Amino acid sequence: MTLQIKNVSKQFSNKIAVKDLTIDLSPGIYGLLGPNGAGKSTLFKMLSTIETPSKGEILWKGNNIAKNPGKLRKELGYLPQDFGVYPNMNAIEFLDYMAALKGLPKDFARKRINELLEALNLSQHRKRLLGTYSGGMKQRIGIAQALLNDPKLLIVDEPTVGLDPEERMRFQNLLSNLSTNSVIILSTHIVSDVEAIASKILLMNHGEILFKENPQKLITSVNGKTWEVILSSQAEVSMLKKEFLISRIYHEPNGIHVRIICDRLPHQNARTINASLEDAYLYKIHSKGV
Amino acid sequence: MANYLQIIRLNVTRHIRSSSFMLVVALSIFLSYFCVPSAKSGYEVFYIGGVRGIYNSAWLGGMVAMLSTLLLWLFGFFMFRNKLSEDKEIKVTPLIHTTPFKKSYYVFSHFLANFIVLNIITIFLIISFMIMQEVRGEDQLIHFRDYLLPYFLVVLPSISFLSSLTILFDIIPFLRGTLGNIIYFFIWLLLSVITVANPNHLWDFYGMHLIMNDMATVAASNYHFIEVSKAGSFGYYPIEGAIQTFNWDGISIEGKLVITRIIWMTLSIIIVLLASFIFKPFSNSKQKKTVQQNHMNETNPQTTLFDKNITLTPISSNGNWQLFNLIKAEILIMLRGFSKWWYLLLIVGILLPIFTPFNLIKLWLPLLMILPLPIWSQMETREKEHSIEAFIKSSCSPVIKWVSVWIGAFIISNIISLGALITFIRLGHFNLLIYWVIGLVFICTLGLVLGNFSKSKRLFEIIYLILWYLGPMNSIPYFDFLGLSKGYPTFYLGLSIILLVLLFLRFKRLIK
Repeated sequence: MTLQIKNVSKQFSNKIAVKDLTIDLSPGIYGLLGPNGAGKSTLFKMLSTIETPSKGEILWKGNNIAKNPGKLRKELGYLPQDFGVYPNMNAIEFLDYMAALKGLPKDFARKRINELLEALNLSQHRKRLLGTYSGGMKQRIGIAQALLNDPKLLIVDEPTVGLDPEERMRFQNLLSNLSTNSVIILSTHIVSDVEAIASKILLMNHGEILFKENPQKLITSVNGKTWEVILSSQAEVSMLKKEFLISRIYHEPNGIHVRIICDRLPHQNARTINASLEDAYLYKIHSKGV
Repeated sequence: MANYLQIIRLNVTRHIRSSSFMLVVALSIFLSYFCVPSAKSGYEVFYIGGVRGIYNSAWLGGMVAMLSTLLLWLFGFFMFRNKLSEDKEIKVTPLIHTTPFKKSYYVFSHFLANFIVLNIITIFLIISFMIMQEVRGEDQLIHFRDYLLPYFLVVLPSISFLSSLTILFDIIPFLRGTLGNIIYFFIWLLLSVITVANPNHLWDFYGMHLIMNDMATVAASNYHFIEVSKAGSFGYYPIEGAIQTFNWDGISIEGKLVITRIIWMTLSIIIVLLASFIFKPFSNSKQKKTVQQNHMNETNPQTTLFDKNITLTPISSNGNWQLFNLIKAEILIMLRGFSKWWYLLLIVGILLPIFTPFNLIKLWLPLLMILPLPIWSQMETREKEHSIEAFIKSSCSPVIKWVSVWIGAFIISNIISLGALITFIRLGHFNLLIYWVIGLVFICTLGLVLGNFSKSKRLFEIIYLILWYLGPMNSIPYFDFLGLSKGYPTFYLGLSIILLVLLFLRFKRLIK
């Protein structure tokens, strides 16, 4: 059960959103990281059969999804970043509708809907109109519809938006449980979410995958390149900013602590420190030239 | 003040960059060509007993003022009627209303933006008519005064009043949707009737009476066979041979006219002030209470997401598209969200034909066909309106979706027509039965295709209302898609097939 992306490009008039991308994904959780405009959403749209590639092909279990999208759709769960719901329907009706769209047998679907609503703590609100739901509840309805058909390919774009920290943690656990049999691709700007659950990180910028490895390897790749220096004035900070990539600045009683990512000693008083995933992310994105 | 002007400017820019604006401008250019036919073209668009004025600046200035007023009152309204709601949809309303910018200024800026854009369209039309004056060459000397006077006296106040209505219909909640479109259409009809039936300055909403009456009077003085009272209407009028012409020097400024036009402009300002008073940028009506209640439930520490040890039943798509389930689900969605009055009217509409004499049924059956308008107009626009397109596109083939939506809408249309259909069968009018069912096939197809192409329910609503008014209501040949006066089953079936072919061609192109 693999998802193969072969030399895929997507072009919109003059802009190339995804550039000659090749990658194979087997079951597991993949954290897709990248700045805004990196091409993540376009890639997701192509993987979820909403858009078709301008060049190349995407194969799911050997089938080209652009030529035969129906086969993937049966096993696809997709949670877009922005979505709405029908305000005049309740949760059961809306999920029934989604189940009908996904071609699920009605009785089984109803059983699974009830289980999902229970798991997502929405069962007491099942008969309430979706128009009265809060943002977090709507997000959970989105998660429920994505999990409705027991997806073998699950694509979730910023899934933890609107969830509180505890809900986020539990959602991460759910994804981990699903990952043994499914390919899960998760896009988020919350790097700690990725660090917690992703078996591999896909780092994307300018429509290209810059890095595909486990989080630890990404962190190791910037060992010895993360520095910290304590400065006494804002002017010194400004000077460093001009020359180096700064990942963090914070004020302490003993001075301004500046975290710098670079290949050489940035300041005579700087000392190397342990790198974080965020440091590694910044280093990789900026070393390719933003 | 500078900020205020900047916001109006930005709103105007936003309108101008829209595709509907470009469409209206293109339409204006086409209209100017169509409405200024050459002497040998064999038709006229403004009927005054089969004659017309020489194409000089006065005549064309008068014509363009009347035409732009008539057309903008219909198309302009539908184009600009939801600008405040659009702000809410794209979620900029909360951003704007957390700034020091006053609520009344915000409403007024939208009114002015609509007013300015409608004027820009009119100016395009005037320039096109000036060009046509040169092209036709009957009198090539352009007098700007003759174009500008009717513009200031007729078009400007009329557009001002129209702009205020676009705001009012966007602010009063029950006028925002399809019901508002229907009500507006009837207001437009009513105002047109009043304008024609009461030719006086005060009740002349469009301000056209002065021009029309003066043109007819001068025509009657040149050609004695013309009756002033019967002259003056717009449409397509075939004529034989070259048309006879006369010279018309334009309107003159009358104090009484100026005063009535000022009254209409003042009224438009009052409407906008009233609208800004009513306008509630953060209104969430009946949802407010339940959402607050819901937040209280959410903070309950006993229940958090995935806190339960639940095993999810394995499930997979059974390979066959559950078309039957999908059609059922579509029907449920289509019938949701109406007030109880709608359902009550529907039941009355279904039952009444069974107990009513046939000659009476034919009179009010067309009225019944206004009820399903929101269902047809949302066939292909509902997903976009509620932002669930991504869910649907990633779950199901568009063709399956179209088929289920079409069948769902067709079933509902037949249920709504049940009383009529039973009556046709009971009285043995099988031809009417066939015409009616084919009419429903056509309307469902039109709703699907226009919704798919425009992604807006307004295009279908306006086209349907015009068709409905001309055809089933006024029995104009070829427009009566329901076949109550005369049936055109082959025509409408053919048209439906053509529309479906267009839809599938678009689908193929999108896939490529």
